[in-house]
Amino acid sequence: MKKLKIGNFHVKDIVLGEKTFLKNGILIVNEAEAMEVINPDGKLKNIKLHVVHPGESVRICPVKAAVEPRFRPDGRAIFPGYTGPVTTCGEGTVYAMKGIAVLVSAHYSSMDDGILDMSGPGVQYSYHSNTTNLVIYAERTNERDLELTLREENELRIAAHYMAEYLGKVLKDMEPEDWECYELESGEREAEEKKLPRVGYVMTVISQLSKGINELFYGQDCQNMMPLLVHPNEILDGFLLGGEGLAGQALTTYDSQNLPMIKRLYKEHGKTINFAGVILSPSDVSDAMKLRNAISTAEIAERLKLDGAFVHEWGGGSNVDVDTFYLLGFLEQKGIKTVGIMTEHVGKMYTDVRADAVVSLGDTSTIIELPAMDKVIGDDRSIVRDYYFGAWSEHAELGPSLREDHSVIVNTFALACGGNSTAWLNRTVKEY
Amino acid sequence: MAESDREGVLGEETVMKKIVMYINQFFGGAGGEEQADYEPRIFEGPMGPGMAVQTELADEAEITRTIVCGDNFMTSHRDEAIARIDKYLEGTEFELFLAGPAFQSGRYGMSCGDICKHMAEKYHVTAITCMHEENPGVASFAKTPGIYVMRGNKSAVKMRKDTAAMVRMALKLLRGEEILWASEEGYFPHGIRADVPCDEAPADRAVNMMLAKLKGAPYVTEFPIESSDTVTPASAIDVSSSRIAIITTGGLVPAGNPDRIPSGTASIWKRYDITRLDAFRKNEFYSVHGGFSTDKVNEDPEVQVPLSEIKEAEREGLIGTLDDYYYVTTGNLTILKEAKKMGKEIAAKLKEDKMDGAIFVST
Repeated sequence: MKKLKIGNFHVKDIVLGEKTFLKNGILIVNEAEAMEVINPDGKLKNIKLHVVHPGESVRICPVKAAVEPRFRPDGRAIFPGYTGPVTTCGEGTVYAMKGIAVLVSAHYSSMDDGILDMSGPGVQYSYHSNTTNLVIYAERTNERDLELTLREENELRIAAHYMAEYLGKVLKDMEPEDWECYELESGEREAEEKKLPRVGYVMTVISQLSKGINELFYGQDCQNMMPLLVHPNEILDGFLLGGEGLAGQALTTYDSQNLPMIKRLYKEHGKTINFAGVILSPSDVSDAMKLRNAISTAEIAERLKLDGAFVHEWGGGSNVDVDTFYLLGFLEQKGIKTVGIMTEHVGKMYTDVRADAVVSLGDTSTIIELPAMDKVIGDDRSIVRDYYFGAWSEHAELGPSLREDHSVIVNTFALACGGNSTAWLNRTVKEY
Repeated sequence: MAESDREGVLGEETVMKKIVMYINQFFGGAGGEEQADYEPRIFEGPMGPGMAVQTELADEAEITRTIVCGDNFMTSHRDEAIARIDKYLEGTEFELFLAGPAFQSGRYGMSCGDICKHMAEKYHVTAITCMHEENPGVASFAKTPGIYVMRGNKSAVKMRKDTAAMVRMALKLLRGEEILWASEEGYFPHGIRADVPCDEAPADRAVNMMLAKLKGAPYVTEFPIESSDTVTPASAIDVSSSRIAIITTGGLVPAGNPDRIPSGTASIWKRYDITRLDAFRKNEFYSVHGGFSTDKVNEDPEVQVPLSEIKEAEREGLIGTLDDYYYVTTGNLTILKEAKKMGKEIAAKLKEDKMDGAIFVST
């Protein structure tokens, strides 16, 4: 029996101060101490911490990771295999700071990074425009691979995870304000008595890129992994970490720690469905690997005796579309009823007419103009100097994405998780 | 107060919106099929279905002119009919154009669509028509910019419903109100999909859709999947006597990416001289494509575009003449419209250079 209890602390604000502690919902952070903790090997320099709030005239670009601060009273690492030794996760007690996120920014963008605005028209596309964020700005002492569109930058990514773990430690010996409890067994008994349909949840996982840029499980890069059956609690508890930055269709660590679909399926578990499990289905490069993964996932689904399966797409682009529609097709072929959950972008290259039930989360091809902000964290010249999905330094009609007055014109793909792939925001796509 | 009120009323009177309407000979009272060649004429005020439209428009807008034209005349003498209508409309000011409703009548539907398209293009006014989904006018004109083809009924028995739909849309447009998506407003979609806020959380929508599908109850997908465009391959050519170009969407660019080809969502393409090259070499060329791991391509760009093999084939006479350039863009998250535009531009350039064919390498 796997039971996960999440004790919530609702954080109202973050302030930089003398000592790191939480009082009356205000998180005070000792900048010097925090900077040491997130940089154990001296791989980062020029570190600076910023606190940003919803509504402020602030642009953060690039944004490379988002993590929720947490604490585990029994001493296990918050992210097993990544910030500490490999242990089990998804069971026991964990404390979480709600309403805030740790983000990491830097001077150079890698193409899977995103642009986060705390005010203006961009906020309707980015979940983290609505959280109070502690933003780490850092540069790499050994800056390298700048010629690559996508590069491995683990020292920046892990800094955000170290920070989340460091902040979480202040929750030791404190009493959570409220609790969430996740376990499958009691609902399963009820579901079996009521003969409810067995429903699974398939997540596409980025595994197609170079080592160090893909999603991680237990801290291990997902490159070339095969489909994997996991417990939903593992996802909510640090098993799957975001490997990409906050590009338009990314999955962040914060997202998996709080995954709305998993929480929603738990609500239905035992009432309308029997929530049978989560399958991570990697999206690889070659057609052969894509077929292998889709076939294997469908086999696991059949072993689980699923009546229905959700297939939720992250990562986006035509590449993962192929995996997503292969999955939907193979599952339907086995008589498993599917609902696809995905972000649109103009020109999906591969679809399957058997995917007749799809929830559309948003569109990452919308061109949006963003006004200049009073403050930029990171470097907004990265928008035209480096690479982002959905930004350009030259355009046949629209001019460069960054204008001289620091206003911006991009596709919503360039906005931090702008495609709503994790399904945080009440958005959809309509035909006009 | 009284002063400004009076001004307001006066203001409204002076801005009474003007509409021109188009109907066929039957609804214009000239006669049925025997009058289908009826030549276009213009009348003052509303006529036929326009009477009901005018009643519903009340004081907000006025149908100032009605054009009546036979269905045959419009479909078989289109240019002539439109030229005459243009002449009638010289000096006429109007802000909106209405045509029909055309129900299931094919020629009438096509005529309404055609004249609406003309009005939108020439006079830059929005045009509204209405017809049944099986009317060929829907397939031909629903996606035309500046036109709304309202979802209508099969026959004139439901005339009132169709004119009401047109009036509803007309008033929204004249009042400058936001036009919502097709299913909400009752028009046939233009094929434009847009990201919008909604009330229900995606997770709730997903669960409800799953529960309905499991029960066999009806549900509506949010992303309708249609079979996509099919491209008919060109017929084969004799390569050994042809002029051949190379095209890649793999983002392979000279080191430094001098023209800033984007790594995704590209709208530009470039071509680079290959006359002095015998192969694409590491560090001289690399890929800026953002949709796959470029490590192997950057290690040896020839795995993406095998220039040395192609040059060899030219030397051996397997290829007649190789183009002096290779063409490149990045095919990653490219908007279909941009892809079509770039395709046309590249094709035009190839034709200009008298190329017979092109090798489109896979990425």
